[in-house]
Amino acid sequence: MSETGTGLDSSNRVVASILGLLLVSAGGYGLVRSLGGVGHPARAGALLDGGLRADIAEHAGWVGGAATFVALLVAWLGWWWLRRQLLPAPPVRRIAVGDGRGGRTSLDAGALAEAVTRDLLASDGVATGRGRIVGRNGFPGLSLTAEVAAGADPQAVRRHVADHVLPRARTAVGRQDLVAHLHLRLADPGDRAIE
Amino acid sequence: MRLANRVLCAGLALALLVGGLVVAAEILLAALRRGPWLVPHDRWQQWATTTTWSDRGARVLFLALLGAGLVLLTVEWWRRRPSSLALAPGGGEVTADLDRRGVERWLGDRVGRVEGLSEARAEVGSRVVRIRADSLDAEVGPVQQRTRDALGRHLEELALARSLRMKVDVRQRRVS
Repeated sequence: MSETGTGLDSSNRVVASILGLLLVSAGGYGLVRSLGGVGHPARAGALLDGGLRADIAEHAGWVGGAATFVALLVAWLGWWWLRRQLLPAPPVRRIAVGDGRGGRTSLDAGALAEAVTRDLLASDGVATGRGRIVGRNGFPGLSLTAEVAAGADPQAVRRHVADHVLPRARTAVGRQDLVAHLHLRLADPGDRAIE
Repeated sequence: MRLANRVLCAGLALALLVGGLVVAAEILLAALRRGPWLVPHDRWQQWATTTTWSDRGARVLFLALLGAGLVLLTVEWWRRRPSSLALAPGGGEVTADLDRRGVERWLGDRVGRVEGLSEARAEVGSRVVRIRADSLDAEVGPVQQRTRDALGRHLEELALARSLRMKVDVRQRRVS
């Protein structure tokens, strides 16, 4: 389903940590070697010595191919990572609700999101709220955000979603595998409760 | 902090994307016997050929790499407070969480109503919830106990997925 902020933060931590470890390894290795360690007492040698250059020149074809492959892999990783930052939970535009001989039937996700938002706001304890249809690879899900009115019970809002909002959305799209995530914000105690 | 980390990660991701594409393009251009396009790799190669491992320039480069890596690891593993707190299962197939800041304000308000407290602030972490409060009472011990009891009740009311350790710090505020 949709990726929560926590999920995004976890993947950021993993990828950035791998990058950090690579940088530490490269810098640490270079530093140790420049100080005469790692079994290379000849620290007076060039960073790119003649032997290495000759090897690269001799196998220029596959070295160039491998380097291009690695560079493109790095670029793809960058694209994947950047996309996750910008679109952590990509909105869905249309949801397929039927696929038969006569053609394909789909539902406008915007209309469903509006209906879901209306159902969410029907809960007594919700001051403001918004529903979105998110997902990847044909598995749509509901991403709901609601502000719980001062004095209201967050669990009651959740029960309302489980008992009314989600079943109605499932019926609308004809999919019982539709799931929902609800992000609740407790209203500022100074705010007036919605009666 | 969380937003800053996301901006940092977006910057790193963009650097990887652009860097990877530029390097791939430079390799292709070199294979076609064309000169450098954006990266002066011929000069870099010359520098790497004439610079030894123990040269000052090389050491500065290694230190910079090491420093950047350590900074990145520190930023990523620095313990941050969660942006949201998961609610215990029980809402059918609906997963739910509560915004941490809202919970802090709510707890501060509720606990602040305890008799004997003049003000209370709540800080919620991934494992601990801490209440810092002021009391005008001469004896803070009973107030501290009442505050702890109230905090326990209100946490139970929230029904969080993970139980939080409670730390209550009630200070006596002197009125001059």
